[in-house]
Amino acid sequence: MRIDPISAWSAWRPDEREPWNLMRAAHLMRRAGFSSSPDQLDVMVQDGFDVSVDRLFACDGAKVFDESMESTEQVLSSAQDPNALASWWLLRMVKSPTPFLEKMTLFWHGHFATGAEKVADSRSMLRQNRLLRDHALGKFEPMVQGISQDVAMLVYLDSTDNRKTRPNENYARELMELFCLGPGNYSEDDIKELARCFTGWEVRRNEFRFNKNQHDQGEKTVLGKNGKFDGDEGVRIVIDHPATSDFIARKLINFFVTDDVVDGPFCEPVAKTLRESDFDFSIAMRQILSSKYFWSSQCIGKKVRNPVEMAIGLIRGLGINFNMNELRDRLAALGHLPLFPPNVKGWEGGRHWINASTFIGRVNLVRQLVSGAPATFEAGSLAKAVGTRDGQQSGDWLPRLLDGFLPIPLQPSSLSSLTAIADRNGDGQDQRIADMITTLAGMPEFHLN
Amino acid sequence: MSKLSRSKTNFLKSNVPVGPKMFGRLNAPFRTLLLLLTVASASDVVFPSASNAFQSRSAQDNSEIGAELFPVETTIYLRLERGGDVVERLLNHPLRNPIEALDQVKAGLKSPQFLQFKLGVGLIESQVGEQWLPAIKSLTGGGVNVGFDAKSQVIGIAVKSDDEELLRKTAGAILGFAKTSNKGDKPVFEVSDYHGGKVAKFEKATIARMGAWFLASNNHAELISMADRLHELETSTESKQKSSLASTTPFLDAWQARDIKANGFVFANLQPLRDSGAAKELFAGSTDQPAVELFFGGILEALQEASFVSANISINDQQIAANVRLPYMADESPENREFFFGNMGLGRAPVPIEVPGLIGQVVTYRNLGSWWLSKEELFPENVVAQLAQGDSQLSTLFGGVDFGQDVLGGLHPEMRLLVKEQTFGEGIDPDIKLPAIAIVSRLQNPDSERRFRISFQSLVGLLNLDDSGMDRPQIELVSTREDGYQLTGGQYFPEGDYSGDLFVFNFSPAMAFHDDYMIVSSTMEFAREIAESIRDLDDNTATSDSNTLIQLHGAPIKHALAANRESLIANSMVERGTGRDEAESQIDLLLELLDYAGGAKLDYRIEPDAMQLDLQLKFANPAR
Repeated sequence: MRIDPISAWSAWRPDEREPWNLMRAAHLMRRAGFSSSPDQLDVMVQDGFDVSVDRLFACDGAKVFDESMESTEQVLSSAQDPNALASWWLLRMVKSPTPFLEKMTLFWHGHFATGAEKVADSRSMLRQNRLLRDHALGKFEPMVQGISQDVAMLVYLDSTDNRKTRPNENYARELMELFCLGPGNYSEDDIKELARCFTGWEVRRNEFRFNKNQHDQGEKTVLGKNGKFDGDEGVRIVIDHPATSDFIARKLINFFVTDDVVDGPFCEPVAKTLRESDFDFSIAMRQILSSKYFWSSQCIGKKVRNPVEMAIGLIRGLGINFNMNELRDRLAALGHLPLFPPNVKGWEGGRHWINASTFIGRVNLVRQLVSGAPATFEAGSLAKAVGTRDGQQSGDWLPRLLDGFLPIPLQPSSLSSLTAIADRNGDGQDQRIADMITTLAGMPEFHLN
Repeated sequence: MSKLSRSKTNFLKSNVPVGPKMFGRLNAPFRTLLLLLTVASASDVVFPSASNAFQSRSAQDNSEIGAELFPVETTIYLRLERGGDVVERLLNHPLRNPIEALDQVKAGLKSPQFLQFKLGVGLIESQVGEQWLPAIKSLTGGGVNVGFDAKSQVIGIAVKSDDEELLRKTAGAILGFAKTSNKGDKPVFEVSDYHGGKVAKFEKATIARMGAWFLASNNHAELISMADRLHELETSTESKQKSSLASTTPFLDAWQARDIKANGFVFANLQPLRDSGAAKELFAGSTDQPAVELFFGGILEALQEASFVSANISINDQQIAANVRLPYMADESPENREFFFGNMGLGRAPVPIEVPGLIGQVVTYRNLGSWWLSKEELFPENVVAQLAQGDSQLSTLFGGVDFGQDVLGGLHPEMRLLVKEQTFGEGIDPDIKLPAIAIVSRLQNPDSERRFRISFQSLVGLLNLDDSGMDRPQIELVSTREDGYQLTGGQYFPEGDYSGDLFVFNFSPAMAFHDDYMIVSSTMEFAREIAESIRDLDDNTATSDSNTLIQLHGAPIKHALAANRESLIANSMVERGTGRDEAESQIDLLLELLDYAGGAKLDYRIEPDAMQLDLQLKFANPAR
């Protein structure tokens, strides 16, 4: 069925037919964050849709949180162990008061994919991570200009040397193909000419520097524009190309809205917002998260949760204290360890997250997270984390929990089997609930977003 | 005023309300417990006071009974003397008040769980009519004995009380609680008379009160055997050492060598442990890990043959001390472990070097050359192959001489490992601050100093070559002759993005030589300090009585950890998945507790017929 793009991306408002309730608040937080606890979702429902969306963009508490994490990231990065830095970022995702900002940072990390293993310098990776976070909800050009001179990126793309006699085309190619335009919107000559713009860009002693003597001062022709362009100007020409807004809009929609292939005309309203706002992502993301399409049945529960969303979501949702090094190893086994993308294209995502092996791994991870040691619960126990009280049957608390966990309702037979586990005789309450959540993780609904 | 209300340790002196309100604050199980104990104390519900064979005997008659109650198959035996005194000593220790003043401890003492525990103890105090501390002292006054059989997993406990009446009341209270808290249809235990005492059989355990003795076991038959042995000992005039652990030769050997002033005695019968297959690697007699062999090879040697290991444990205001004894004839040790024991077991460690502010020091007798050259006899083929490869590479580094024969063999069989917190120069402040580490040994031939120095310079050159390829800062090498010693070392300098807070700035590798002494250190400063300490020694070849001696000093350890507070907090956050506040609280508590750690000393000696291990954990001077 053909969807009208104008209508799809126009503003959605809750009404009697589609009320602002716990399930919709959970949908917002799963997509624009990593899930929230039932109590936090209750607050969102009380505050209303507009306030809840505003709060995502306000990023309250980010500064205080950053200060509390600063010395931690400094210490962990100085150890020069990129694995430790990955654990640190996972902890940030768990504890951040601004999960939307972290989610945006994760999106940009996948977009400007850089692998810590090859970079082999934690400080450079940390600097790039900060750069992405600083611009995650800002404008595109400062971010691309920054990433173009980012040490980790240049090391990762073997672009630490670029001499006028032998221009290095690696970064120019990826800037066009993967970061801004997408395939088919540039020629091999454009790559060669853009690479000439970047001549003289070097990395020495882990710092970017411009070597004037190695810069090609001659005239270049990039994407139909002529001039004695330098690197900054070359980046600007690429960003200003009409294909950029379409390419970026499509990537945002695929990450936050749908795993389906979306065509140019369908994305055009979002691309137009990007162009008209000078690529201001806070404006474009507000349009996306407030759109009729985002809140439609064609979208809710139609994405596959990536492993990070699933694990961090469960940890945040239940207030679990878990060893981040252990989580890091588990996510690596599931193929989704931040700072360690598979290649420069980042993670493919969508249905690729799940196969026979990773599905078992996902269920095992859930079991480990909810089964106690080495995990503990901020509420004191799993039973308290899910909101039960002494003597309560699952009917008193399970519906609310499932509304927060799942994007779509369970089949009655599935619900019955969960209820049977939660209310069975014998075993402690925590054990029964852990078994129930593990069983839930074995159901397809749990892995949808 | 009652005895109870005068008690210094009386838990009821707390601000827990007494009366109906007190019940209201309790959870259901505790309310039940209160009622149960009230009923139990009102009458002798289970263990009525009756005249029996045991009542006629005085405590002194059988005060030495302990191991006699356990079978010959017993694998581990533990005897605690004056347990109540130990508890009292800990409670009255000068460190108690400062520890209780810690915020985290204060919070714990106010927690509902602890308040409930206090109340429960108070209830038992009221049941038995005695404060808990004097009660424990009386109940355990004749000693606590525990026996464990590794094969059958049976455990037996025998406690002798100084006060039969108190034991009767306490046992009654416990059984009364068990009886009335039973919600099932069947009785939770069955009581029967046995040898004039009472035996209560539960589903998974059996307990008994036999005069002044309290017996317990997870196996009914074993408890009955214990009761039989006790009865026999109490009533028979025959030798006590008949068919029991106490009559076995290994136990007798260990028991006769025990320290009668110690608070605790532990005996482990090693043959049953070996037969049970437990801890196979410990009893294998060998290891495929060269470092483990180097440091523990002699102990592995002894453990594969020794009949027992025993230990005396003492606790006082200043320290907790343990003396462990493992029988072994060192003069019969095999040749391939001479690197560990020395000839005829006479290898002795050098005396420690006094360097101010040390975190710790290890001094040991180890003949590295002999260890390396015995590798074919000590390790499996794959390990030997790896060592041979290392031998070849190291021989190249050392200018073509044989690494085992000429390099390691050129060292005296003594080693010192010293650790000290380091200070950093201007502009250098690593986020993770490692202590400086140095190894000190002596050269058989002082002329070989040049060979070691050149090899060190080659190593630095290799490191620089590697760093150069990675565009990293390099080590600048310096060599100086100081007053009485030669120092060669290298230093990194901050450059570009490589600021002084990086991990690598913990290192300024150095070698120093004084007479026949060679010092290899992770920092130049530490090498210099050690060289000067050796230079100032009156007799720098003196040896100790130990094979290995380890010293740790509490205050410098605390200082070194405090310097890494941020790193500890960061790791705690990541490993526990908590926020900064919680991690800070945890690490600060650890650091505060370290204020009360004075230090530790481990002294490992080889004597003609046994290995002795003395361990001391010292508390910090409370007056500090």
